[in-house]
Amino acid sequence: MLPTLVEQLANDTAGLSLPRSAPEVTLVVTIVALLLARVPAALRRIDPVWIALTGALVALGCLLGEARGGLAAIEPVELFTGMLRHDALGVFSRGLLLMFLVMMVVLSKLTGLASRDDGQDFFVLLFGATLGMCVMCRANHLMTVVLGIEMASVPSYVLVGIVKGRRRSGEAALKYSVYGAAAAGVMLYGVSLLAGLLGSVHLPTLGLRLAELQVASLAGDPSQRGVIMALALAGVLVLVGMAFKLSAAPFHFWAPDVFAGAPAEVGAFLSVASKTAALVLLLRLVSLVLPHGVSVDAALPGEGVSRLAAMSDAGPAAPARAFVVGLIATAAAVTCTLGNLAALSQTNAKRLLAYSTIAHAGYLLMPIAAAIALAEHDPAGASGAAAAVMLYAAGYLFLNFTAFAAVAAIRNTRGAETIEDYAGLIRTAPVTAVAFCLAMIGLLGLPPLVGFWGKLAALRALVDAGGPWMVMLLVVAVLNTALSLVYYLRVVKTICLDAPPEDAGVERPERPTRLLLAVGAAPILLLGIAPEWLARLAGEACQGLFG
Amino acid sequence: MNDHALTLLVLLPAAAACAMALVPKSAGGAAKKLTLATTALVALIAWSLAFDGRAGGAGLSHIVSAPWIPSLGVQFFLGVDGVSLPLVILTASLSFLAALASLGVERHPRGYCALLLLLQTGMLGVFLALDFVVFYVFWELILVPMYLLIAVWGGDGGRRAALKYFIYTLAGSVLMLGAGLLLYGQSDLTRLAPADLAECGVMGPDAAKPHASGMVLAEWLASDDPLAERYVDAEAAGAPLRTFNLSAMARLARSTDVFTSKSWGGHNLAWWAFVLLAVGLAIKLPAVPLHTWLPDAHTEAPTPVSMLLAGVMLKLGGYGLVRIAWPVCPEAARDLAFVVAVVGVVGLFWGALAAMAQTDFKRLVAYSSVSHMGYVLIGLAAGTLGADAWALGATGAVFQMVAHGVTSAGLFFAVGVIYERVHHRDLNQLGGLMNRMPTASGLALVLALASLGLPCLCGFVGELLVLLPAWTFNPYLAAAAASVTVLIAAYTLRAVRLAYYGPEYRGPNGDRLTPVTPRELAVLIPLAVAAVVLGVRPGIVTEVAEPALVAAGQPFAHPHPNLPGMTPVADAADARRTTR
Repeated sequence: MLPTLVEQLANDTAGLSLPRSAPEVTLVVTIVALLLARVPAALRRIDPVWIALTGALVALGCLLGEARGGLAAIEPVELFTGMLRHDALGVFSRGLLLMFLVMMVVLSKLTGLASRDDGQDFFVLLFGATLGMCVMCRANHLMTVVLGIEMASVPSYVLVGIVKGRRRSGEAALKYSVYGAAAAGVMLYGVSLLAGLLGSVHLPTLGLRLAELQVASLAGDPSQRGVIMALALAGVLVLVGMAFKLSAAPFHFWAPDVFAGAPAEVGAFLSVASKTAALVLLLRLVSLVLPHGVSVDAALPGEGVSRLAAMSDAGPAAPARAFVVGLIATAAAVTCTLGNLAALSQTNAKRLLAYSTIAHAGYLLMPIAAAIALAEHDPAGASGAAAAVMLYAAGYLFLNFTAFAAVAAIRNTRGAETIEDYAGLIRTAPVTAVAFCLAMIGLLGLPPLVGFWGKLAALRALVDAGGPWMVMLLVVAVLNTALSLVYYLRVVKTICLDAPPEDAGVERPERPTRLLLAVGAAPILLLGIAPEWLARLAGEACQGLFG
Repeated sequence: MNDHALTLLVLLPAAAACAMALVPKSAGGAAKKLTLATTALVALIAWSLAFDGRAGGAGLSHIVSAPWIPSLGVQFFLGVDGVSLPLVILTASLSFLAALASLGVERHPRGYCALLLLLQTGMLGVFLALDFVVFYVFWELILVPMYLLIAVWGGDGGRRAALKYFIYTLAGSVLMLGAGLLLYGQSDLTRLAPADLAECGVMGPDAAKPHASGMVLAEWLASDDPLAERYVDAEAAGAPLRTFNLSAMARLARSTDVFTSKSWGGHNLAWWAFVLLAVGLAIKLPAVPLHTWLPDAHTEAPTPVSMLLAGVMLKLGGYGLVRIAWPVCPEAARDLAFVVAVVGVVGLFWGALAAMAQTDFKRLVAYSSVSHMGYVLIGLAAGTLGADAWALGATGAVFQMVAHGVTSAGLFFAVGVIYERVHHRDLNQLGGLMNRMPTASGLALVLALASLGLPCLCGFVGELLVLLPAWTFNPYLAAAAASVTVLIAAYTLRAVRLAYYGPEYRGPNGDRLTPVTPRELAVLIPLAVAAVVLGVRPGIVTEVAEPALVAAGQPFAHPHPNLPGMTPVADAADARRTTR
């Protein structure tokens, strides 16, 4: 008995799971190498950035190896006895994360955040957080969900306070960790409720149990009301945890203070990587836990099928689905509007970007609501909506990276982070200025820049789903786009039209920084003109996500 | 096979704009010459469309169709028909004249030229695009260059005016985007007949030619077009195949009931889409009360940009109404015709009265644009009565757009000629210019008279064509619209009297009133000639536009389907009731 179990475990781990986790293993090895390189005096002279860069590139290479045959060819398998899930979405989203990691390593070196002496600290935290995000992107089990979130969060708290001796930084880090701990606790409570009510911690099994529970018939039975209430509470609590990670209203209050207090580079990491991972995790939760017709039919042979077939076409978990759609749609609308309204009056660039991040979290949640609504009858449409999320997130990666990198570059040359101080940048530092303006207009979502296509795909998903919630979201999204013009354009106006300050000398960033900004900004335009490649990749990544 | 004349038309200016980055910083003159050469080439290509005998019928020609973003259902789909052809030629020609007028720009000439060329790409793209998303992309492409052109190269209040322009226009375009997505969400290509599919370019450029060799559905389905594969899949699954194809949307509205599903507030989906489209496009047109961005933007913009703003930009709104709003949502257009007509008449009055009160010559011309665009709305509203009314009203609206493009661009340039010399535009301090610069003043007079609608000049034809169906539509409104011509005459003649006549010039900088230069004449003369030619022989536009308009207006040819046997006038009265 025991030897077979061990053998099976060994086979599963060595034969199936580890080869498919090469990027994660590389990240772990890099972390260890970074730490060990400090011990012998001979190795201390090596700049840690080289170790970090090699590690990140190797990890990205391993991931590209996973995607060798194209994303569509990746068969979903469960790894580590069901803890993780290996599928196209996981590969695509980790690809985004690892590519972003490479860009982050270069950026933090160029802007001087990771110096030769304490670069190790920064990179170890960065890699640790990315590792956690990779786990989030592949979670298939409530335990890995919680584990991934914690692994991603704890290093992030420290990253926010990485610049020692600055009161604002310290305050931001403390605020972030207190909020984060509270949100994690709340989410853990929701997770335990879910596990207790449904008797499993494996996400697909949770979905089956929820289908068997017949929420629709339970709802009519007064004696079972307690179960329904507990389920609803569990759903709300889990979503609270997700909302915190996404900086979605009403759990967004941490974002402006944290972004303003943290260095701009860390802001880029939090706003892009953390959010992408949280989005993928949310997609996983809603696609696996909320049962959809196709997978239930396939998974419950015999009695199950006839029982399901006897039911109305509303599906076994229609009330649960409608409940989650309502929650997410409301959160999306409120987040988007609050973020944009608050951004209007900001004077600090990092706070402005923080509110813009919040607003974009709202836009990104919209197609998720559409996906859940569509999953009932149109699995292909639901996968399309999920693809819209990924397309948006991919474009957003370049936009926000460029914006924050420009903020960091200007901080180093002008020593200022308020928007007024950006006056006349186009004349004194044209590359930075053009990159920043492209990012702003892209975030606004004007074609032909990459931000527009994500937005168009998201709105398309809303229209596909139809119904009052989706039309409400469509109206909110469209009006918010017009609203957001005011503050994005204000930045562009200050940079391009206002006169530079008298004492502004030569303030171009160094050549490598300019190159990095150009590399970050070029995809905004190029992917905007030819977005098909990215759109198809996102589509393949999400194909079959909803059965 | 794709005919790449249109691709060239759209991409040539964009390529030249990119090439500006290669021009050395000191070589501003080279940048301006490159711009002039590019716009000249584009204008040549645009004119060649009119003479190769293919464009201008009822159907589309010169189609370019290529998958751009199949994952999102976006097709790079360009084509030209009788409605767009005159406007394309107008745009290309005015862009050339604007480039000619820009030779005097001294400030950052490279940036200026690049933005002007991008602007041209955007404008031509809007008139040529037949896919909603492509249309929208070009539409938005105009925003940023125009904003910067007004803000950087404009007058003292340029920044405020440019910001106002940007906010108004973006608000309008997101409404349009919402409407487009609503329509997209109900569209279904599988419901169209094969002949319709072929004609609206879904089956590729060859099948859309009028005498195509009969490329049938089966042949297309067997081809490796990604759209064909999706069509097969959709047909097999019984699922709808959504489309952004504007031509297909219009056909769907005509032959199926996809857009008429009941939706909120007792109106159907097309009604809501129409309201969004009409409001969004009315901002660009502009219609009162959404016009307030226009006088500021026009006044502050540099002269060549003012020419394009008035000559082309305002036509984008009207073109959008003719191309999308009316054909795709005919029922709603008929329901709301009275509201649209009232807005048009109010705009006419408002613009004319405001123009009478102006002392700034340029602002006066700007308000006259607001006024003239009212005719477009009246013509389109009256056109919903029936086939004949549509043929007159819509053709009148399109003609009015072309005519106004010629006269307003000319007048803005004429103001620019004065401003460049005396550095003010105050009508009270001008006067006597007829003596000092007779040639320029004479040409400006021709354009002003054309603008006020003197018979035998181009302004008259549009007004007449619009007013004819308006009488049947609603005599009171028509009478009101006709009476505005008196106001128009009053403010135009007042401006002419104050600026050009009078004994002598007494304002500041009188010594700088030099005679008009050959370069300025090269801009003014073609516009004045066009004003006369269009007035004497309006058929060159109307004969081209009418077949395409009649084809697009087929829904208006039948009596109201819900209320059979009603006379047009009663129909209009009914429209009034429903809208109250």
